[in-house]
Amino acid sequence: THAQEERQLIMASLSTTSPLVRVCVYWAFAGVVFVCYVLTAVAVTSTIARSDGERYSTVECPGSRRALRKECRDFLDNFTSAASDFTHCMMSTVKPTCFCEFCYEEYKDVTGIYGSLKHSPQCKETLLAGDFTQAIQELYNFVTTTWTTRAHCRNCFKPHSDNITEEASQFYELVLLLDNCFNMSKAENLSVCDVCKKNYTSLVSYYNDKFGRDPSRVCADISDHMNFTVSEWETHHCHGISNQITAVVLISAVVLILTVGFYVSVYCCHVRQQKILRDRRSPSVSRSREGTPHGRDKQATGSETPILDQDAKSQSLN
Amino acid sequence: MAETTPLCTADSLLESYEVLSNASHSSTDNADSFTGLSRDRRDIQTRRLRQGRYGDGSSGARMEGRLRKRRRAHGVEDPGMSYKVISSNFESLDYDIVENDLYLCEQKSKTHGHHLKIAVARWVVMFFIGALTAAVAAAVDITIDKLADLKHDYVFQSINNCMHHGCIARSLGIWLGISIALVLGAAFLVVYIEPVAGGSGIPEIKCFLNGVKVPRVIRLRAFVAKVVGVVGSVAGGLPVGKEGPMIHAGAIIGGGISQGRSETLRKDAGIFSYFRLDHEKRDFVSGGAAAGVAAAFGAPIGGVLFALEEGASFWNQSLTWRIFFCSMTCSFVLNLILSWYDGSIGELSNPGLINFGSFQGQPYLGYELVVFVLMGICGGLLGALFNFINFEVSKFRRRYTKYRPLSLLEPLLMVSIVVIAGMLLSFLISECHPYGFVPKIRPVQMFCPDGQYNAMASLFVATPEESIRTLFHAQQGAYNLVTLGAFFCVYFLLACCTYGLGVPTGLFVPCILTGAAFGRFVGVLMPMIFDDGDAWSHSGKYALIGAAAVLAGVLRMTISLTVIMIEATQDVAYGLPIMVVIMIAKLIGDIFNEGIYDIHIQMKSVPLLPWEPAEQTVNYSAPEIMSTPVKVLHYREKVERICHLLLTTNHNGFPVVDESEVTVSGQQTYGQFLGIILRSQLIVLLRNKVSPYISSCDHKLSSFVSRYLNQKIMLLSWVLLDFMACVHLTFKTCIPDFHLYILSM
Repeated sequence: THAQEERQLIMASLSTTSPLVRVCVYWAFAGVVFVCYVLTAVAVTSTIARSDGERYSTVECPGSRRALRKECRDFLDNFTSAASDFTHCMMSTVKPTCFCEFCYEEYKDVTGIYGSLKHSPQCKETLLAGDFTQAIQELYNFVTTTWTTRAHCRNCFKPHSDNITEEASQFYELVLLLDNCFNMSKAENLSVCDVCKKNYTSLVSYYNDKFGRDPSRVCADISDHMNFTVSEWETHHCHGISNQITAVVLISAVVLILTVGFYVSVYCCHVRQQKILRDRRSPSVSRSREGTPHGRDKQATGSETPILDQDAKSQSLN
Repeated sequence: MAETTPLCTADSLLESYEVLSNASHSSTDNADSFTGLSRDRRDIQTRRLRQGRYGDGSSGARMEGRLRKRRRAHGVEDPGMSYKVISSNFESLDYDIVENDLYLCEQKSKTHGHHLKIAVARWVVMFFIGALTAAVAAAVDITIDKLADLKHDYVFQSINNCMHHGCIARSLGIWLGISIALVLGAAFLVVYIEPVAGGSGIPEIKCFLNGVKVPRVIRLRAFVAKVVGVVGSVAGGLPVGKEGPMIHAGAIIGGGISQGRSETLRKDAGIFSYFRLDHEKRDFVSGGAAAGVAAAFGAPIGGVLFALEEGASFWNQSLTWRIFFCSMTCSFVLNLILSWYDGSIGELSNPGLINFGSFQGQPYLGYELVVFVLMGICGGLLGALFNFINFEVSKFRRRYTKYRPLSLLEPLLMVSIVVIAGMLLSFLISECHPYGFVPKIRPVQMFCPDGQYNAMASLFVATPEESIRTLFHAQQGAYNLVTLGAFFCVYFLLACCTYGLGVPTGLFVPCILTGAAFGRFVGVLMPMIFDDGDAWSHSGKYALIGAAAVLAGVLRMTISLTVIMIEATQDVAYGLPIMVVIMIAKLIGDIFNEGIYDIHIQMKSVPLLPWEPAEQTVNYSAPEIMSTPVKVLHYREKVERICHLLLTTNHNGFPVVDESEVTVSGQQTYGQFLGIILRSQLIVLLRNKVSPYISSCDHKLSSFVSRYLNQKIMLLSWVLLDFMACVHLTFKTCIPDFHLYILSM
């Protein structure tokens, strides 16, 4: 009986609650459900999107199943992912450059896959020669030229080995020392020029010694590191070259004065020699030229007189 | 030969050279026959001579005035200076075959096999000339390369380090010291060993090929001085190139191998004695000069055309083939040697000593031709200015610094100025770029922040060829306007003053470098004016056009220069603009003065004939310009008089006259001309005390000629001593009468 009473009470309370409240409850419930739906949808789409990015898009041209064999398709996918890995690695380490050291594995993948593709008789034709864009070839060329001729990465590594050279590792040690020094001076608020000059000079002379001979062929990791270090050092304006300028100007002045002095003294000390040139033409001819002027010519050519006069004048002037 | 045309005799012509300048042009015209041009020409000249003798010849004064006026208008000659005189120190080459009985006898005895042997020998000799020229060129190139590397390593490492340690003065001292030492070697060789090895050598070769015997120019001694000297002057850092000297060296090789002996060493290998005639030697010298061009620029066709345009006035088809073969051989051998030096034997694509690099991928558009034409005009003006300044400087040098120690000192001062100019300019205009901004450049930090190089310093420090290549091929932005303008001005002046110093100096490279800086300046300016980045983005091609313009403005060559430029850039696409620019620059330059080689030929007072006689010379007769009395020999002549004539004159030949006809139609003459006898022939005759009328075939003509050629000077003195004694003591009994053997004409 007690339970019955209670049920009745609840029923009564329910019936007594206003319709407005009831509507609110329903709407609230529906709202929660909607929000949950939206969140789920967003989550799902974003997951799908992300996984799309990682799987490098599985878009296929119509009929590509027929155009490509299975193994060639695999080659293509592998190459695409390797090249993409390399590009990603390179671009993320491009400033300051260190991709020679850190993207070596990726580079080896690209060249390895390309090499095996080159030696695969079935896919070589279809993939390398069969299209207008030469996309694979171009991509491969980009990777190799960036690696070899632009960045000279091979020079970072020991010949026929995957380890970086002694020079490079020693260079990095020196850079590290200098970096520590920079940090230390900053922390202790000391003058960078005084504290780190020794480190810096040893780094520069090491660089000049080992790599300065042909800087255009230095591995990009090292030269770029050097450039960054140097430009950082330059911001401190540590060495003034003004005291060296005086020496240069002095030497220049000496040379210039010597030269000018040489020419002036040569000019002044010169003794002029008279060179007498004797006219050894036949006297009769000379006389006829001076004495009887141009009788025949006048008759022959007529109106030459003004020129003659002019010439006579110029002769007399001389 | 039946024709007994009176020749314009060597005697009177040579005398005419001594006549005052006023008539110099005409006298050279009359000398045509002497330098052996064509038969027709000679006849014309002779007729003119005769006309002069018998006519009244009164137009001289007018002519003189006109000529002088013309010359003054050209601005080359300065009235009152002595550069108008034609020196009598130069003899002509004897191109005419001595056609006497001896010669005819010898010709008769020759078989077909003998002629074939000579024909084959010509080709063989040409092959060796080409190969040896290439070897010498490669040796020079490699030595200069090594020396420049050493110098660069030593000096500029020191400068780079000194930027931090404050020892820049010491580095500058080292730089000056090394440069001066190298140039001192070159200057010493030229001033004290062989003065004719100074300069580019092209004027001398041009004279030689046109029939003027320039003393000692085709000698081993000149070769050594030239080749060793050019290494010193180029590696020392003077603004000079090695191309002119290479052409000279090639010509000497041509003249040396073909003769099979050396007059410097007094050695005679006894081979190729049938080439010991002046016209044979001339052909081989042309071949050698062509090979020199081929080696210097990697331009075999340009070499042939150079020999044709600048060199020989004697040409025929078979000579073209031989010379082409020679320069081809030279190119090939040079490629082979350089490929070996570069470590890839057999890769024959490394053409010459200067390689301008290819211009592929830099198209030019129609409207750019307008700019090119303007640049051509500028090039002509600049060239004229260059020649003018150089002429004035050379005049100064000839007058004031001709003493040996002074001319030794001058190149040293010049190289110091170059070093100082480089140093000061790099300090004043320090355009800095990071290392590797322009590939293949010698990086010199010099007043730049660490890790950057100084663009101005790199232009001065590199060998000129490297600088040219950078100016041609570096990307837009590698040099700014200030750097280029300052470099152009300074280098132009330095190059003006350097040519003519007592060291071997080539002109091509400094002109190209100056022109390239000028062109690149225009190329950088263009996008600024027209504000359209893409259309004007290749300043390298402007550098090429500027180089061609200045080169043509200075040298005034046309076809050979065009072909050389095209061959050196390996790009025929730029043929049209190069041709246009070269033509315009030459035309503009010719308004003001002559080409620099002609100016220097004139300054040396060499009697070199122009291509055409001046129009006014028609009425100008020989007696008006020639000196009197004419030194003639009579049909029967006494030894005493011959000896006297040989001693008192330096003429190369004497006319032999028939004294019986002294007066012709009332006019007094020196006799009827019968023939000409050369000094050399007289000396040999005297020495051997040849009895009258050599008519048997016992004496071989070749032995006759070569015996004399060996030791001219010694022979002369010996003969004269011997004979003077004879004349003084027992003249009557010695040889009472000496009948000259008259060459049958």
